[in-house]
Amino acid sequence: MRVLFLLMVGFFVALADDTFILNAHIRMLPKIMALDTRLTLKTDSSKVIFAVVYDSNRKSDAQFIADEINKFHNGKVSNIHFTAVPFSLNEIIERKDIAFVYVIQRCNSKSLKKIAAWGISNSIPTFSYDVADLDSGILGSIAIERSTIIYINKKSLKEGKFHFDETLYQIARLIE
Amino acid sequence: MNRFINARLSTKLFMTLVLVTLIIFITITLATFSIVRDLTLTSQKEKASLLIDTVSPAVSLSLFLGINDLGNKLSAITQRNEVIALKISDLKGNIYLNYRQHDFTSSYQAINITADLMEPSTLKPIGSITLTYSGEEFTKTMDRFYTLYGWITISIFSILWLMMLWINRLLLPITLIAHKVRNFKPGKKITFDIPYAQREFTQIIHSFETMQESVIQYSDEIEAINKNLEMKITEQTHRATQHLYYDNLTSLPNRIKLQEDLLEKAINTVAILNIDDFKEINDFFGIDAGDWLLTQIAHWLSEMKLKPYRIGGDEFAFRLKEGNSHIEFQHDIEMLLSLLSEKLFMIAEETVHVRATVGIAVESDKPLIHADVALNKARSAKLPYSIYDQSEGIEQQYQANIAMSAQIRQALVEHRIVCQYQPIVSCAAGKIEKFETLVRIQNEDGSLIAPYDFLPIAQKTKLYHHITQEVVYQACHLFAARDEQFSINLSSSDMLDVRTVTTIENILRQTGTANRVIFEILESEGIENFDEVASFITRMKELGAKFAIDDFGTGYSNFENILKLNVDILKIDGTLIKSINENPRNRIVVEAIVDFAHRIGIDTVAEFVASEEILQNITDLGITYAQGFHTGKPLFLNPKLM
Repeated sequence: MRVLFLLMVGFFVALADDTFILNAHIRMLPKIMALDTRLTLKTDSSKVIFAVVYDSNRKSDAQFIADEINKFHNGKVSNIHFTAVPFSLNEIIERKDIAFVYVIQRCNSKSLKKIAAWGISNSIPTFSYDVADLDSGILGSIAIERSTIIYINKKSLKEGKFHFDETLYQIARLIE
Repeated sequence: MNRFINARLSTKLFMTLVLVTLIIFITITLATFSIVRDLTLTSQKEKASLLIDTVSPAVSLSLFLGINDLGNKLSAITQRNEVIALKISDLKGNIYLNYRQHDFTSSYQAINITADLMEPSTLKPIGSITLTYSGEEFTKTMDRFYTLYGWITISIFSILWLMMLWINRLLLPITLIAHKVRNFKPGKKITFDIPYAQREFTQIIHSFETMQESVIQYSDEIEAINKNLEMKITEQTHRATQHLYYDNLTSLPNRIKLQEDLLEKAINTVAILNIDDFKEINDFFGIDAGDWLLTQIAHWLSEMKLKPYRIGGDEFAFRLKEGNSHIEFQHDIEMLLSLLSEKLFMIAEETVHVRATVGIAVESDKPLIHADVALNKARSAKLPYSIYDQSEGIEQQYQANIAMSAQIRQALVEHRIVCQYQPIVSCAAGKIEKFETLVRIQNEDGSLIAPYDFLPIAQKTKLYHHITQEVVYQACHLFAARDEQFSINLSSSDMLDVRTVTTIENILRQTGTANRVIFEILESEGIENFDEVASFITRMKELGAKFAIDDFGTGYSNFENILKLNVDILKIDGTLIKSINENPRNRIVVEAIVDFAHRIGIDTVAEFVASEEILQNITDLGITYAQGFHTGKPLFLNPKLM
């Protein structure tokens, strides 16, 4: 019983921590997308697609995040109309109308590298839940430490020829 | 303003300098203050803005991204001492950062800069950032500015003060020159020993010295001229005094001098000496000879120690000597006259005997007048001298004459000279054939003044001709409307006066009475001025007038002259007629006159016919006309006066 309780407390603490970070991501990532100065060139339609990417069979998690994003931003950030849509890894790499990619948590390393490589080659910014994913070539992530810190992968930034508003680089922490 | 106008030149210069400096200094100070303050403030604001600009993008992005923790991002500026406060808020008023320096206690002025925070992609405002920047640097800068200008002010005023001293020193020579020039007098030479004189003052001094030399030169000249003028004035004054008080011809003191001497000293006994018949001497020997004689007489009188004055043409005067009595004075005069009668004077190598008449006024209040009266009395009485006697009333007579003269003048102006006409009756026919015009003055009360009361005075005062002209006018105009002949008395002076003669001629022509008028002239006057009278008679006779000799038989008539005068009537003097009955001698004279008249074919008129007996007598003697109270009294024929 005590073990079960500790497990439940640990689950809820972990869950609470995940939810806090996720909420920050839901709130901030579309705005970081809006900082992409070439955003309008990356879609044909009137609506920009914010892709929430998952692997394995975790579509429901991706769907949940996409829905939360749409709900929070009400399909608009700044002057940009967008919609958050969940995509599997395989689906995403076939698409040509994606403006921004958010990789949900606990994706495997292989998937992360694949999507990072795709993002770099297509100049599609890729952000992930975990800062550690930047080692796989993901462009950026947001960590909640003593304060909210945006991490950007300096190598991927150079390779992917991304163009963000200059101010982003002032507050972001560029890491190798 | 007047004080400034009247102020000294150095004061004016200094005040102008101060004023100009103050205006320039204040203008520059205000402008510099404005510029420095604005620049410093702008600089501080720009610094604050720069700080905001530095953090603004990051803050904007953080705000955009919803990153609430801004403290680390802004630590770069919040650590600066100049930043007093920093406030970041969104549009809804939510405050994301409200930083305030804990140890900020300075009283320096703070500078608040607020800037909008913009959304990075759309640049829409999403909040604001307000930075409160310390004004310490601004205040310190301004303090440095004030200090600097304080020193500049002190320096400028010190310089001005020094300049004032310098100006005073520069212009000091003017004061010294003015002081010296103020005390300048033409006779006194001034030297200009001025220290530190500038070139301009040296020039002024030189000019003053040149001017001074000219002034001294002119002054000397003027002084010389002045002395010359003074001499001339003294000379002229002496000459004028001589002219005024001394007779030019004889150099004796004149009448004015005598009058002044009489006023100065209370000696009022005076004698006036008049040379007898001096006119004849003048006429005979000429004026120059007359003057020469007067000079000799004056010289002789001076030798007689009588201190003579020459008070008129041929009149000399003497005053009683101080200490002498009147008796002695009278004796001196008698001696003088006696010696003068024996004295022979020389004129053109001819000896001349001079006689004189003297009038003396003794202790008189009007010595000259009274001496003159006495002189006239002596001359009239043919005496060598006469002493004025107030009891004789001669002065009163003179006053009466003066009053009568005024009365005659007034009567002439007021047309109160009137004529009465006495009938002249024909002895044969017994009727009035002529009238004699007799002049009267009618007083304002209607009474008449007889001619013997005013005509002698009129003759002396030159009013006689006016009376004659008035009588001729009245008589001619009256008889112009009548048929009788009428006679008018004329004096020889009337006949000699051109204006009177012309007036008579004009009146006769205007009235047409020339052939009925008879002018009566005195026997004596006709003889004395024979040529002039004869000329007048000829002129009037050409007009038709007749002439009668008045008062014939009493003078020293020269029958030849009577014949030459060509008179028409002889009026036998009344004194012969009125006693013709009693005095056979008179009758003989009258018979001779009548006989003479008959012989030369002229009429006769007997005057003063006062009775029937006289009338009968003269009728028997063959006299043509009778005139007298018996035959008719003088009466007015003018209807207005009747």
